[in-house]
Amino acid sequence: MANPDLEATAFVGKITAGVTHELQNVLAIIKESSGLMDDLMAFSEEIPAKLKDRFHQANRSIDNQVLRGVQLLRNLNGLAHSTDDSMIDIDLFETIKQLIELTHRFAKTRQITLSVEKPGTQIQIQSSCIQFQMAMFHAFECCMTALLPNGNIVISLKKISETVLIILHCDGKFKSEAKLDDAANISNWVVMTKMLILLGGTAEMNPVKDNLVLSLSDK
Amino acid sequence: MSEWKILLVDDESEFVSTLADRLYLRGIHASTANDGEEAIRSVTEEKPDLVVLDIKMPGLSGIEVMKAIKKIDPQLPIILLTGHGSTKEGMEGMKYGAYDYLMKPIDINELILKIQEAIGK
Repeated sequence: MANPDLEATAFVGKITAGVTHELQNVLAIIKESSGLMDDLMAFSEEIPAKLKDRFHQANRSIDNQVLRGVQLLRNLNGLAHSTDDSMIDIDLFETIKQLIELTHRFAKTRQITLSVEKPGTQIQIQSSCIQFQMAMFHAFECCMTALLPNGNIVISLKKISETVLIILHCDGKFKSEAKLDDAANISNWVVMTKMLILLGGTAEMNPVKDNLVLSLSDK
Repeated sequence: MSEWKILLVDDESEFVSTLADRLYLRGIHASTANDGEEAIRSVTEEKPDLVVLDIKMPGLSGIEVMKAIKKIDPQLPIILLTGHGSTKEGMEGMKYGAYDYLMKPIDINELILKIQEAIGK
């Protein structure tokens, strides 16, 4: 690995993966401690029922937040490990789904929803997973920047011969009449196309300018 | 169930001690070990009925500990604990003879069910 950018990415990935393991243990201890408090409360005959109920309610809140944290860490760990190999088989649906969950906050602050449709059969490409996710993230950004709040971005996957198409369909009101055309002027577009070149792919808009289509080879 | 002896192995001492307390409240006696060597010693000395073993530990890994335990007692059921939804590690552990695996954080009812299945087998 002679590329300093790749070395830096691998370094961040390795540290992040290690920390997610530690944090997972933190959550496991919180969950067990909350469970033990619940158990002790349940076995106690002296504590009034009303207080027990309130206590259990507080503990359920801890459990729910632990579950939320576990899911976030799971996705972050997946992202961190995607820097492990320079070339792997990428399940596009699973990877995009994970990236949508990881970038949920970016969409939420703009009041935009992101979703991916599961294809009938598994669609894979062989490539750098971290570069693919960078391209996808910047594609999300291009679409989200063009849309007004309450917009939806629905991603679908198609395979035609050896070409894989990732279609980001933007549904809702756009900030300008140029629709996605404006996205081509922003830095996200530059990063996305740079990543796509590294992956051997391209990006284009449909004539109506409400779809962004990424093309990649499945090899 | 109260006569069963379970050994809980994890380098996170607070995790295993709390889990041991929760099992005790349900009538299951559990002892703890915080590394692989301590676990192997406990298996020899205490002869537990089942071991719950974390895969990722400093020093000897969970898989290495499991292989050592299996040399001492090939029939001893071992339930592995894995992280981050990693079924890959759990499946690998089962190839080496683990009874089953659970993902952290665990659900105590699911753990007890697995313990009952494994010991009652």
